[in-house]
Formats: sequence, C-alpha cells, structure tokens
Amino acid sequence: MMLRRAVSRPLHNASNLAIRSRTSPLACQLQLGYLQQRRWFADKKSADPTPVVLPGSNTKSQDVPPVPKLETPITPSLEPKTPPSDATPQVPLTPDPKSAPPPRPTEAIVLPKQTHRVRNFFLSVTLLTLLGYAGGVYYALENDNFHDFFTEYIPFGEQIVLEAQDRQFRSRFPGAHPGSIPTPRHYASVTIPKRSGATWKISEKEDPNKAQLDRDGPYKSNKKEDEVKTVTPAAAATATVLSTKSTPEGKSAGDHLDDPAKDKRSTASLHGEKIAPAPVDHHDPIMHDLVKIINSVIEVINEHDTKKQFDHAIVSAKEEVKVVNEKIQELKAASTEPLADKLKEQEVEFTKVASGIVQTMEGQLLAVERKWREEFEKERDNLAESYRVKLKTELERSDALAEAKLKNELMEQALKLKREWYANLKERVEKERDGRLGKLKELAEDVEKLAEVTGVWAETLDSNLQTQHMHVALEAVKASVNDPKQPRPFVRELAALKEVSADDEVVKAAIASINPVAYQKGVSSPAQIIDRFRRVAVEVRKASLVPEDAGVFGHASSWVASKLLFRKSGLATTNDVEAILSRTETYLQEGDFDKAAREMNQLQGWAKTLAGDWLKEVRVLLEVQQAVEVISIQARLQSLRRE
Amino acid sequence: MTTTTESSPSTSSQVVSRVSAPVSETLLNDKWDLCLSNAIIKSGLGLGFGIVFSVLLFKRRAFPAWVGLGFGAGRGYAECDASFKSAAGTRSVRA
Repeated sequence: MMLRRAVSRPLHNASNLAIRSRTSPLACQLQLGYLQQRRWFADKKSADPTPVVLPGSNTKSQDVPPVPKLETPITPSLEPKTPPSDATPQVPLTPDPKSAPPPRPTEAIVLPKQTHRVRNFFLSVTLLTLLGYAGGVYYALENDNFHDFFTEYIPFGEQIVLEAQDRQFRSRFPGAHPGSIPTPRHYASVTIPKRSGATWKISEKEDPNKAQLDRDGPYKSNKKEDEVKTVTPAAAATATVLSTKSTPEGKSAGDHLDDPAKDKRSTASLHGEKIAPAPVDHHDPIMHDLVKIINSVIEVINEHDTKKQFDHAIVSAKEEVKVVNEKIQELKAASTEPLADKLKEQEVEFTKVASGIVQTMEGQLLAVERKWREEFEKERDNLAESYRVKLKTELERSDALAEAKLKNELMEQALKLKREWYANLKERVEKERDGRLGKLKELAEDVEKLAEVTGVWAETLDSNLQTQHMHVALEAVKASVNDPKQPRPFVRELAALKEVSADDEVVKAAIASINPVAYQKGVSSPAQIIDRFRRVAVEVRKASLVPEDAGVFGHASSWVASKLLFRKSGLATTNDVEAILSRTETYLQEGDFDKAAREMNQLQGWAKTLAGDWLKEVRVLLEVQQAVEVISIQARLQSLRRE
Repeated sequence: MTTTTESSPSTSSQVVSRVSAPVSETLLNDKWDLCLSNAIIKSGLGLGFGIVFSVLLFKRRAFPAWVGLGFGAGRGYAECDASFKSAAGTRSVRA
C-alpha cells in the first residue's frame, strides 16, 4: 500500500498541477512562468534566450496533461507490477475522468516573471525524495542486500518496505487477517523472569506457573518469537490457508468467501449510482473469475458514461451469472458428500500426523530435559568434586600448620632447657672460680701489705739517707764557716745542703735568712773580728767627744781631749762611749759576739758611723751561725723523727 | 767596697785591707788627711799668689804674701769644715 502511495503521490501532484492549470488560467500562467523561468535559467548560457522561450514554454504547457506519463517512466518497473497485484479495481485512484478535458493554455501571454524559487525547490526536493524512496523500496523488494541496507539506514525505510510487503502479501492472500501482521513496535518486549537461568535444584515437576527454560518459548529467542507471533494469532487462518493450499481446487472456507463480497460492497459504494457490479457470493473460483470479468466490464461502462446503453445487457449478464452460479452450487452440493468423506479422512490423517508431531515434540522435550538434567548432575558432581578437593587441601594445610607449630614449640622448649643448663653450669663454674679467686685475692692483699711496708721502709731509708746527706752538707758548711782562713765563700756547700734538704721548709727559710754577701764572700772569723775591734775602738775613742754637727775645731778638740780620757776596763756600768767600748771588749774576750754587737749598737753619732762596718761583719757572722745552727737542729730533728 | 773585698781574700794582711777598703773606722782619718792636704795646697797657692803680687805690684812687700796665705788657709779651712759637717748632715759641699 505504501509503495503504491509512494508511486501515486507524484502522480497526484502532477494531476493536481494539471487540474490547477486547467481550472485557472492564472495558475496556468504561473506554471508557464515557472517553466519559462526554468527554461531561462537552463538556457542562460546560450546566447539567445528570447526566441527559444516561447516555443519551449508552449511545448511544456501543452504537455501538462501527460505529466503523469512523464513521471511513469521514472518508476517503470513498478507500473507493470502494481496492476496485477491489484486484485481490487483501481477505480478510486483515477478520480473524475470526466473533468479532465485538456485546457488550452494561453500561449502568447507572457506574464511578468515570477520566481517561485522556494516553492520550486521544495517541490523538486519532495519529488526527488519521493522518487528516491519509491526506487529504494522497489529495489529493496527485488534485492535482499539492498533491502537490508534500506531498512537499516534509510529513515522510515523499514516501515515503508514493510508496508509494501504487507500490501503484496495481502494482495496475494486476501484472506489473511490484516491486523495479523504486527508492526515492529508492537513486539512484546522480552522479559526474563526472576527465577530464570540455571539453578542448583534438580528440575522438579513442571509447574505451569514457573518459567520453563527447557522448552521453546517466546523467551528463547527473538527470532523464534517472531515466527510464533506471526503464526499464533492467526491460528485459525493458517488452518484455512493450509486447507486451501492442500486442496487447490477445493472450496475455500466461509470467511474466506466473505472478503470479495465485502470488497464488492465497498466498490459499489464508491461508484454511487453507477451500475452495481455483480455480487460475488460464489463458491467457485471459476465463477469468481467470471464475476470479476463482468465487474470490470461494468467499470468500463461506468467510466464511459454509456450506462444506459449497456444497462440491459449487463443486467441480463448478471442474471446469467446467477443462474450459472446456482447450477454450480447444485453440482457442488452433489459432490460435497464424497468431499466430506474425504475431508474426514484427511482430518483423521491430519490428527494422526499432529499427534505424531506432538509425540515427537514431547520426545524432544524429554530428551532436552534429560540432557539438561544430565548436565546439571554433571555440574553438581563437578562442584562437589572441587569442594572436596578444596576441603582436602585445606585439611592438609591445617595439619601441616599444626605440625609446624608443634615443632616450633618443641624447639622452643629445647632452647629453654639448654639455656637453663647453661645458666646452671655457669653458676657452678663461677662458684668454683670465686673460691679460688678468694684465695688469690688474699694473697694479693698480703703482697700489697708487704709492698706498703717495704715502701714505708724505703721511705725511711730514703729520709735517713737524706738526713745523712744533710748532715754531711751541714758539716761541710760548718767547716767552711768556721774555717780560720777567712774570708772564704761557701756557696757550693750551701747549694749542696739546699739540694739535700729537698723541700724542707725550715732549711729553706734558714738558707733564705742568710745574707747573700755572706756565702758569696764568706764570713770573717772571730779572731779577725776581735782584731778589727781593736782598730775600731781607737777610732771610736777619737770621735767619742765630737759634738753633734761639729766642724773642724770640734773634731780636733775631741781628738785632743780623747787622749786625755781615762781608760775603763771590764763591764763598766756607765753609758758613755768609753764604757761601751770596755764592755764590748770584755764580751769579745768572753766570745759572746752577740752581746758585743749589742753593746756596740748602742753608740751614737760619729762613733756609730765609724763602728758601722764592724757591726755589719759581726751581724753576718751571727746570721750564718744562727742559720747553720737551725739547719743542724732541723737535721737532728729529722734524724730523730725517722728513728 | 765590693772591689776591695774581692781582692782582699788573696791578701789577708791588715795593711792591704786597710788600704784597699775605705771602711767605716777610717772615715774621720781620711777626712783629716784630705783637709790638711787641701789646706796646705790652698794656703800654699795663696802664698804663692801673694808673693807674685808683692813682687810684681807691691815692690816686694810682705803683706801681699801673707794675705795670699791667709786666703789659701781660709779656703782650706772652710772646705774642711764643710766636709766634716756634711758628714754630719749639716752642710753639703764637695771638697
């Protein structure tokens, strides 16, 4: 149907154009203009457009009615195909043939050019697309590859092709239910129920409510479903089809016969008051054809407005047909009985075949079920086996682990014992060693004590030696000091003494107290001192009477007067110079240098100045003597200390 | 003093020591010696000058000789006195 429409649409357009041009000259002119325009555009390249314009337009305008004929070659293959497919007359598609007188277009009128570019463009585009679709559909029906391509990639291609196929199918099998062919949109969506798929359960008794996977059903695959869908709804129809096919000369079933009648009615209604076509309520195909022929004749008559002329003849023909039909009915009735028997036989046969098919199907189903069960069992066995293996390995592993743990514990215990044993051994060894070491320690202590004692002894010995050395040195010093051959330096002796005394503070202090002049130049001996005293005494006596701050006369007078003084002797009690001198002399004679020095120290003025040197000498001697005495005492003390 | 003592050990005799060392007991004697010599020299010088003057200027008269002697002796005395007193700390004049 779609195909036809696609083909007819351009035709329609063309006819519409023609009608328009016919009805209104203006439209025609417009068309003319359009054509001219086109012409002009096309011929623009050629140098002289003007002379060509009119004839070109003329021809075009005159060709307006046969426009459909121009179009037809575009779909040449479709045209011949459609008429045979059309079981029903094509009458409605060519409406109003009477209102189709070709108009006389006004050729000479040259209208102002109106450009309908947009319209033309759309027209051409639609035309081209329509042609393209028509060609595509045709070729799709011819070529399978192209069919696939067309349905897949061209928009609406699939619908159009389907529609065309539907049309073809219906025209071939008018009995088929028109609604039976589903559009792809109405395909039931495939839904897989929740409990579908393989389960661990052993297949139970078939529950009609549950999904049955081992059977072919709509959920098995789309393809099969397709087939089922197409087949099942028209179950009754298929039966009839089959029957018709198996008995080609057989009489079609009841509802099949209804269709042509319906068609007839529809065509009749379309024609209005025209001669009614003969009713096709015939069971015989021969009659059918006859009626068809008559109907076509009627149509021709209707088209040609010569109803009245043929009316009579047609009515008579109809009657004839009716009579023939009746006769045929009778003949049929006569032959129905053997046919009925035959039918019954066939029915039985069919039922047998059907039962056989059912049985085979059941057998197949059972086989499939068995197969599934077997597979399931196998799977279960496999699973069980794998689980067993896993369990075994697990057990082995855990055993190994436990063993390892035990071993480790044993090792630990062994280590612990070993350690304890070591500790014990160590303790014992230590004890023994301590006993021996104790003895050794005692010995070492004794040795130490001995060492101490020896050290002490060595010290005492050393100190003894030192004191001895000291004594020797002291003796040497004493000897040098008391040497009558004076003055004589005794530095070496004193240094030796100092060395020997080491760090004896007392000795050091004693040596320090000695005037350096004494040991550098030596000390005067007592005899020398006494001798010197005599000389000093004379001088002192001379200056004994010199007054303080005396000049030449004072000194001279003292010198003269001193000659007149009486000599004193012994320890005089008075405190004059003469008495002091006599006391000093006495002390000196007694050998008491200390006292003598003290006496002489009492002098004053010139007398003391004169006795100064002597006094110094005596003091040095006294110092040295004292120091020597101190050192000797120290030495003695040291020697006493050691012992 | 140190020099004398150093040289003394070799010569232990009294004389040597006395000569070499101006020890304290010989202080006054030395002063006297110095004074006397000084006085003699000065008075001699004065006398000499007086004599020369008397011969040259005063026609050999005696008084210039005496005056000269007096000047010399006086000078000697003064110096001696000063030396004694300086020793006592009253006067400090170098002879």
